[in-house]
Amino acid sequence: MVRASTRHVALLVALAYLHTGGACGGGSGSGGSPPVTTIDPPPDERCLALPSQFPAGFDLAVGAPGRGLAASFNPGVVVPVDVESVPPRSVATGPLVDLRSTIAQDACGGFLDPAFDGVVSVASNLALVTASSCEAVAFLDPVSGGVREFNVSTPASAAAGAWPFSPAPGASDLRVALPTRTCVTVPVGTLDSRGAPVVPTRCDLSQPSFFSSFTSGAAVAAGALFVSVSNLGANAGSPNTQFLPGTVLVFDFDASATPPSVGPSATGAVLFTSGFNPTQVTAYRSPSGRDFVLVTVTGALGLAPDDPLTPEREAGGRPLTNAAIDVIDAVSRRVVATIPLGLAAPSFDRLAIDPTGRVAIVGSAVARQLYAVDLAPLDTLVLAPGAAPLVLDGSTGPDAVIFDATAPLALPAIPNGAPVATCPGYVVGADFDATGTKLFATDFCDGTLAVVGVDLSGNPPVPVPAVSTRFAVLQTLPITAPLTTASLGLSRAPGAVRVRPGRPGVDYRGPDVLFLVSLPEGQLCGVRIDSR
Amino acid sequence: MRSGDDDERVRNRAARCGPLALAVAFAASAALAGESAEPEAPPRPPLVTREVPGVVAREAQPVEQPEDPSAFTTVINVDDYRDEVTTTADLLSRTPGVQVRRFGGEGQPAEISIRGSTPAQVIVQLDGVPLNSAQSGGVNLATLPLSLLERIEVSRGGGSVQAGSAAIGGVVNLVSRRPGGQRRSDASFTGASFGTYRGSAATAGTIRDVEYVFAYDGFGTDGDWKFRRPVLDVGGVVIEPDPPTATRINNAAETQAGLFALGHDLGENAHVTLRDQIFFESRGQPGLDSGSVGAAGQRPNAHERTTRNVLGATLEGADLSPLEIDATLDLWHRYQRTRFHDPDIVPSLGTTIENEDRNDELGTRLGLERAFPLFATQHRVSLSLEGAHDTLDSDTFASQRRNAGGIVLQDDAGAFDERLRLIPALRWDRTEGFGAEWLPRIGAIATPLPWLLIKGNLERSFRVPNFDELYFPDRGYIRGNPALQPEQAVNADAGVKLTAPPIGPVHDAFVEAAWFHNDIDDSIVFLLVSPSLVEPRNTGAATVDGFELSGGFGVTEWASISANYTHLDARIDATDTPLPGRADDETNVRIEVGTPSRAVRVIAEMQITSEIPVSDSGNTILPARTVFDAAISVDLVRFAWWPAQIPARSLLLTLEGTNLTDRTVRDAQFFPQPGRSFAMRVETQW
Repeated sequence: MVRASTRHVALLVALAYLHTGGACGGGSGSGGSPPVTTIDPPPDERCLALPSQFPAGFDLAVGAPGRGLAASFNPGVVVPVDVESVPPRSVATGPLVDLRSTIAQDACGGFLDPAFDGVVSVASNLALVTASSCEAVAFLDPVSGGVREFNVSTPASAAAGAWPFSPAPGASDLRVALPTRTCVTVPVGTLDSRGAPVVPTRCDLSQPSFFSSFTSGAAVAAGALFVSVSNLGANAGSPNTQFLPGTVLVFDFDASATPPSVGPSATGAVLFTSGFNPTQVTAYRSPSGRDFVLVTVTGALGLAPDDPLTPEREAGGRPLTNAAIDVIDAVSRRVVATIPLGLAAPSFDRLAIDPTGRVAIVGSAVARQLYAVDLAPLDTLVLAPGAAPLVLDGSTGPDAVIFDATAPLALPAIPNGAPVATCPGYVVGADFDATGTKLFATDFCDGTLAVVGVDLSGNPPVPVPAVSTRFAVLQTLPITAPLTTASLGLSRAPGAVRVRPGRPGVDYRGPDVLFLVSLPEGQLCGVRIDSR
Repeated sequence: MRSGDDDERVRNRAARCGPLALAVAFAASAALAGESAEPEAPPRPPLVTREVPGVVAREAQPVEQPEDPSAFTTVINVDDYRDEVTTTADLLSRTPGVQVRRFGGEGQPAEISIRGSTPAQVIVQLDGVPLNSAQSGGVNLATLPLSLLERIEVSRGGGSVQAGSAAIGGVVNLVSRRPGGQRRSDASFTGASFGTYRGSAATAGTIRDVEYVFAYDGFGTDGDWKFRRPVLDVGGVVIEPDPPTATRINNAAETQAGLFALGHDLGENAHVTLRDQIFFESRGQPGLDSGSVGAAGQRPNAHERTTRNVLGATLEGADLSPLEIDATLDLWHRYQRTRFHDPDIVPSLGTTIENEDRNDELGTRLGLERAFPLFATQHRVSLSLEGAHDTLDSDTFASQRRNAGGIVLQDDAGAFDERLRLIPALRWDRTEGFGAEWLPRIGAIATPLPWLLIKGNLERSFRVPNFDELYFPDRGYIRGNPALQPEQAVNADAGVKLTAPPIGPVHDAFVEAAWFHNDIDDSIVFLLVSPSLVEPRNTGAATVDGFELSGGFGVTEWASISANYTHLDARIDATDTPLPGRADDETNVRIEVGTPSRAVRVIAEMQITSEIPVSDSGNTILPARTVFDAAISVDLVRFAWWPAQIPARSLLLTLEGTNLTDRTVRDAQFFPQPGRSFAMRVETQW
């Protein structure tokens, strides 16, 4: 009897268990108002909080004085901002919506999250956002921060599968983003950054090939859209990253059409850069009106290994292959020249070009240095059809190098700044003021803004002499805390910098220099340098 | 032909039915075995007094621990909660001074913080065996099945003198079910929302002077709940997520755990216990919900399997001649293997992930204790010697070995009829590679009036860096730092406890208030040290101030109310910014109403958590929340209206609702937690 009763209990328990198990539903955590994660305004009164750390980019709005666009990484949004106010303020008229899902639908079949990489203002009604992972260039309305539709087409001559996420060859489609994933084929024997031959992959099993990846920059010139694609291969982010041959994709582009249109150039949509890792393209119109696109070719990058002979733990970046500024003739859509910079590792923001168009300057991703090239030779550049690009270091063309890896323009470190062993300097961005006499450069490591005096008066020779009377560091201003263990919690790691056009105090009253901050939250800060 | 979906369904069914089948089989066999068992041996009186006195109320109360009498300690008797649907993490989260950070629903990781500490600054022990691995430090609370435990002891404040490295925040000791005593068995089954099932069974008793306990706990969940994704308010700019809602994917989990322990008297003065607890966990790792495509960026195939075995033996002796010393010798071996597999390419890495880590610890502890009078004072002097050897073998990690040891000397000196007690202690600790540490401590307890207890502590504590922090392989974007130094801390606390005699219908009333202050130096934080590299570094000083209030009372025999509140101010000294991940304020309220016979009980709980800063500036903030839970339980054995007599000591039916208002709950920015859920539970004891 006892045995039967005990079994009865066990059975009862089991039945209750079975009955309850599948019957209980649950909620979705949606009670009450929507949950809100808050990012409070930063304590620095010069700064506007942005939605994520490491903001993807910032640009001043073309054709809209006093306005700018700040792109965030996660969520993927572009915040239209009023840069006249202190701090800059958002002028979004309503809630912004994370754009990544919409972009992914149009650019990569909804499979991969677009990782916003940068924003560039093209016209008063158009801005472009570059995104990697889901490789794309998205079209945005700079006023609202929302997306715009373009008629995206693929030339009929394109090979099937060459543009896997674009419309079929010969077809077109209204889309908010342009796919930049394409199958790149290279000649047999082409080497990657590790010196190994590029091999056939699934994008083209018949020849060495790879899918383009890490869309990094966009520029519009001469009716074409130029998109730099870094083409990182295996082990991205590791000390042993593989860099595949760098490319710039070329698209026919007509923003004035109805609807505006874009599509891979039928006459050659893939240009190869002179080195690995093209990280940015900058549109440039020469004094005589020739349109070029300048490509920042950073070269393969690695990490400095720890030196066991030093007490510090080294962690800085290390250039592995040569860098250059490649010159694309925007009309003929070919690389016509390259300006070697050596083992420089130029940084990834666009080139700073002085208002006269004479000099282009870029920072270093691995050192507290600037590099500069003279653009004067481009105005008269002539390249025969089929000829190799000229090398503008005095070998096959005029010497256009002002500051390169062997003779850089060094920026000073600050006392008690970031440890040299781990963060020896990273000049993220640089920009000229409207007069062309001052250049502002941000250092990620020390949290500084360097002010460099530039004197291009008197029609200097080519290249502009790299002398202190022409280029001199005037000031090094701390704008955030340095990247040290003691600065945890403070604003640090400044990013891209932009200087407003016009005369401060005359053409506008607000800040003249705007820069991004990466940590602890993303920020856009405005400072008035000229008023000091 | 079986499709992939079919396979998934089979797996899910297996996860659900595994616990059920095992538990039913176990319960049945236990019942049948019980009927044919030998006559019961009389219960053995404890040889060494390790019982915690004074736990009479149902609520977790502050009590005194003999090994650490001046510490602010809460003891949770698991048996008090057997008619509720709860977990170890749940109970800990309602304890004053404790915050539990969850990274999902039940079955997904949860970690503990005591008085603002990091998870690695809390030692979690199972029967005195530290579960913190030398590799990663923290302990996942989801790997600690409640049904295998008898009680949970939570000591807040520095505990390095007692427990060694890492006890900067405190010590949690989980005490397994004990072998021996009268034969008793129990089994329980729970079915809950989101395909969640749990089954447990246990039996304990004595056969031929051999004490035994066997216990099993199985758990499975589909974990496929929907969640709402938060809106981001950036200084007034509202950013809406797309998609606004998502379903947690790859969130199924299954755990199996077993406890086996035997005990035996060795003559009149000695006793030996051998116990083993094995735990297995297999779960999906959906990761962050920070993406926007597919399932909001969740990882569909990442998976982790963990196996842990803790084998321990304890030899206890009381009044050993010639000095009448009480002695305890513990030996243990802890093994833990964790395998992680993500077959999909991680975009940021460009690779898939596959790794396996195996941690072993072999340890021993000898404790000697003697009580004696000296002049007008009573002393209880204890000496403890400890040693442990840790190893890590991994297919992605260079093998590591480490020896550590310590000697602790403590006196508990009482005067004025024990109304004043001073507890000085000193620990010498040595960890291979980090030299020796001297850790002093002074504690005091005063009971000037029967209803008033005052106590306080001042001590040093420390934490040696773990293997991950020291030697994590250089991945390019992250690496360990062999140059790390131990974290150092000075902990101070003081408080009072008031107890009141019965006043009318009110009884068992108490209030405890404690203030604490921790100075922590050389905190180890993973920092961005270069434009592309994160590395752990010793950072500057941090200070944690706060206070804890707890209290409770019963009203007649029908109701009781208890509550606690913790305030925390945890800041980095140099920048005056908050330590992220900690709520400044947390309040727990619990009300129980039921018949004196405990045939019917209704329990209501409220947990109020203030905003949680999640960035090192403190500017990114998760919202405050108030969560309500409620349960009703009926014990059919005691229920007078139940028509049939049930041959059991209890048969409890429980219906519980959690997060009744369906609030969106997040402890970490990109880890959603489930909304409202329901559970039904049946538990019987015989």
